Amino acid sequence: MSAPTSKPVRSTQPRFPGLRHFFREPLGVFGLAIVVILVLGAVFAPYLTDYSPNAIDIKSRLAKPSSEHWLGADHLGRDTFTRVLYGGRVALKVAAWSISLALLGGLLLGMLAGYGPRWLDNLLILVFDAVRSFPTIMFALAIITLTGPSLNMVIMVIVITSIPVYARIVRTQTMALRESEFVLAARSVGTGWFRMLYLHILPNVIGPLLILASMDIPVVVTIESGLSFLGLGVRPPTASWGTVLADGYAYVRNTPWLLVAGGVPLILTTLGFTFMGEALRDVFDPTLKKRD
Amino acid sequence: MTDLLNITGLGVRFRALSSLAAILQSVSDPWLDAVLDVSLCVKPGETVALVGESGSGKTTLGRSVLGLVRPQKGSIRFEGLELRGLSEAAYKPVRRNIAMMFQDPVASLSRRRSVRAQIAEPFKVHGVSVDDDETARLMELVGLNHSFKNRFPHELSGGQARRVGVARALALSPKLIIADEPTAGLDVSVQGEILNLMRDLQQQLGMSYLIVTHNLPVVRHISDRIAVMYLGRLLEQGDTRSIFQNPAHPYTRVLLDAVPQPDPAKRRELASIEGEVPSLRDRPVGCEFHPRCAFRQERCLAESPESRPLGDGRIVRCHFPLFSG
Amino acid sequence: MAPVLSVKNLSIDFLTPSGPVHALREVNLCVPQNKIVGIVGESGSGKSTVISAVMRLLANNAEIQAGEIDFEGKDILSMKESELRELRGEEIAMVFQDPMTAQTPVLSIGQQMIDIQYRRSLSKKEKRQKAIDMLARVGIPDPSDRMDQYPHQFSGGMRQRISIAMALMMNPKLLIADEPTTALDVTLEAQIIHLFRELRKSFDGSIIVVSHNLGLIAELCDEVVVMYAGEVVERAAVDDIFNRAAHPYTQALLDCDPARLDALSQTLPTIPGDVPDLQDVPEGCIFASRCDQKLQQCSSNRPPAATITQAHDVRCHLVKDD
Repeated sequence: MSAPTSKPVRSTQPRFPGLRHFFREPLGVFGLAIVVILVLGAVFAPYLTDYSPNAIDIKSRLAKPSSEHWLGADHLGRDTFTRVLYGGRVALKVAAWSISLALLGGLLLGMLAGYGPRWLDNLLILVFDAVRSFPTIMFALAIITLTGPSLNMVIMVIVITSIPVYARIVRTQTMALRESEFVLAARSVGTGWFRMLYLHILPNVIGPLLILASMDIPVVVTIESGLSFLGLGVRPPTASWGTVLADGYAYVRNTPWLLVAGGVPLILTTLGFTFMGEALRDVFDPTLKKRD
Repeated sequence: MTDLLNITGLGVRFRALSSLAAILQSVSDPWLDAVLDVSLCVKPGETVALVGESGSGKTTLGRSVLGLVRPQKGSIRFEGLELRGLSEAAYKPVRRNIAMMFQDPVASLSRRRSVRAQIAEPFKVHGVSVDDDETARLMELVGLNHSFKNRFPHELSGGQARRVGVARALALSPKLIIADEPTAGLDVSVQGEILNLMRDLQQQLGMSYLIVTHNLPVVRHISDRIAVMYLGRLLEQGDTRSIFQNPAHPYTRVLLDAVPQPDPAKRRELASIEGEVPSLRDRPVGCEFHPRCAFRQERCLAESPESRPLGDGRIVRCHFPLFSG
Repeated sequence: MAPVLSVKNLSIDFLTPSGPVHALREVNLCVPQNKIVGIVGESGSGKSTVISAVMRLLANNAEIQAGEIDFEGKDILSMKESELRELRGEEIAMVFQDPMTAQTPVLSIGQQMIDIQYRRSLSKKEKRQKAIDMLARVGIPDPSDRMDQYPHQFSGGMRQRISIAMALMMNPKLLIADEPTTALDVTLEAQIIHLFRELRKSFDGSIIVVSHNLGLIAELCDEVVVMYAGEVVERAAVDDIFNRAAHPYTQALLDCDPARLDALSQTLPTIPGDVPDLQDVPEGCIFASRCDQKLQQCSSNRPPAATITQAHDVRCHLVKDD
């Protein structure tokens, strides 16, 4: 028997060596910080403010920022800061539900399309293309006009229009992986399609998908805000960044603060998730090993 | 002794052009024959080397035995069972008894799974229980240090990854192992390690090997029989020593002569063959080797030769073999 | 006559996050005029690094610790980029391992071959003719028609011939061939070897062939340099290397080549062990850990270069100066 010639282990490398590199990217860390602040602000909203977001107080109507109202008050005397925090909750809810459902749907359908029989792929692609031929906002407007404004409808529309996008990416990756040597090796061992997708394909396609998802969050939040701005998202008097913006737009001559309060979180969300997503992309990049 | 593997008249085609493209480009036959009319057998405990250059179809042939590529014609009988036409589900039990070692050892391992998980995979797939002792035993069998079990493919050297591939192939004690270029990428001073290991295992466990390779010097030492492929056809097969001493097919002779000799005293004129392997789309008429054959005659341009036995297990596909058995 | 290329005491480190890798250590070799010199080595030997150093195409994290590379009397290591550009393609040319990626895919072969001649003040027609002649010399059929074809329309073997044509067109003083046949089938390899032999008759420069294939080296080279783990362990005329190798590594390497084993062997010889970690170069002889003729002092003292005969030197304690 030939003697083992392999050297003993020096140190086991982490599974995702890029994680360390993520923290070296200043923009990525900055983005992560913003995201963390936004999420914490939304989750702990009740603890960060004594006001209720819908508490009307005509005495404080359109108040300027002060120690009582950090960002002022709107036309019904409701504390703007509070409404922004609770608006963050709406944004978080929309983002969390729609992205996770879209991810799930996209992964499932994408892998089936990429790995399964030709006819299934053709069918799914047909469905994807059909759905994608409608611009998201138009689709949303159409549905919501029929069913009436509701946050759940917004989420459902976003999920339906996002799944084809995610699924296509997963499908392409899956098709590429299907021909790779380790998939062939797994087939030669007798691995069936379910195990193949779950153990061999999924871990390798999920990386880019997560990055896409994180970059999609600001898009989704903006869609919700846009619909709410038009009165087609959350029902009043619920606070959403979109409704705060709508009020701000109506009362811009009285106070600019509503607009600022509604707009700034949107901008921060976009910046934060985008920076974080870009840095994450580098984490999953296999060429990372070659860098100094 | 009955054959372990018996391949008869095997044909594997690939579609090169869609029907529409074929019409537009006025191509009458959009199919490419990667393997054409191949008949070969492997006996228990024997090592058969399948040799050929690029485009010879040897890798496709190896893969078709495992059902990774589906043949259109002919028959593959493994222990008497006909494999051609089996569904993917029906192929599963067959894959307990035939295993494959892949050419690129690191690429053939799943990126995000540990060595231990990869070796345990065959067990899990076939519902056979496996514990750490079992994987440890296999690792020891192939000479891999136990400390490697939690490593990932990108943390292994080429040689180490190959050993993992061998361990995985051995998992369910297969009767036949198909090794695709086991020495590819290995330095000459270490290629012996993997080949010696394969030989030791054969002596211990008695499996047969079908080794697909273009490395002729190594083939001479490690195989019992060779089969030479060209453009998808088997041109010659027989006992290794005998073929090396007396090749019957002109192509075999050219192949053996073309290997550069590591001895300056043995320098000789190497240009005994012209041209290049023709494309699979433009198969020559008659004997497909005739455009490059130094011994061609009239008959070779018109008529395609059949495989004929020459005695002593030698089979040649040539009108005028260089050796008559 | 002075050698075309003379590498003196070259030491190169690669800087990595975990520390420097001492890829080359005190490498000495020279390429005489009109000769074919082979550099033989396995993975990690440093042979590709030496070549990259000569062409000054090293990676960004390479650091030249010491040494000189003299090309026709000029030191390559101290040249500016503009001077190097004058050299490359004109006086030193290279043929690479993979013919499928060696040519630009979007320009025709003719355009690429005419482009190489940019330093010459010939007319377009003359340049074109020169290219056609060169393609004919390397055995491309119908060169004047095929000039206008694109690389993907040629097979691998043809593309390697084209690479050789491009390299030799300006009649360089030195041609470097890096694993020129490794990516080719054995029958094509034989053709390329034959081509090199033919071209040599009309080419008056020198050639360096880098390979791990002992057969290729034996067929083509006049002199051989054997490298192991970043050092030159032996240099000699080809006949001496293959028949009177003095270094245990060279001997072991030759023993391992299955094409040299006449008797059929059930067990193939190997060199047990691994190439040492070049981040932590061991003391003493670099081959000591795997050497079967090891002496006491081999693990502690690095052997000096000893000369056996003129043009045959070795770095081994077993060999003293003659």
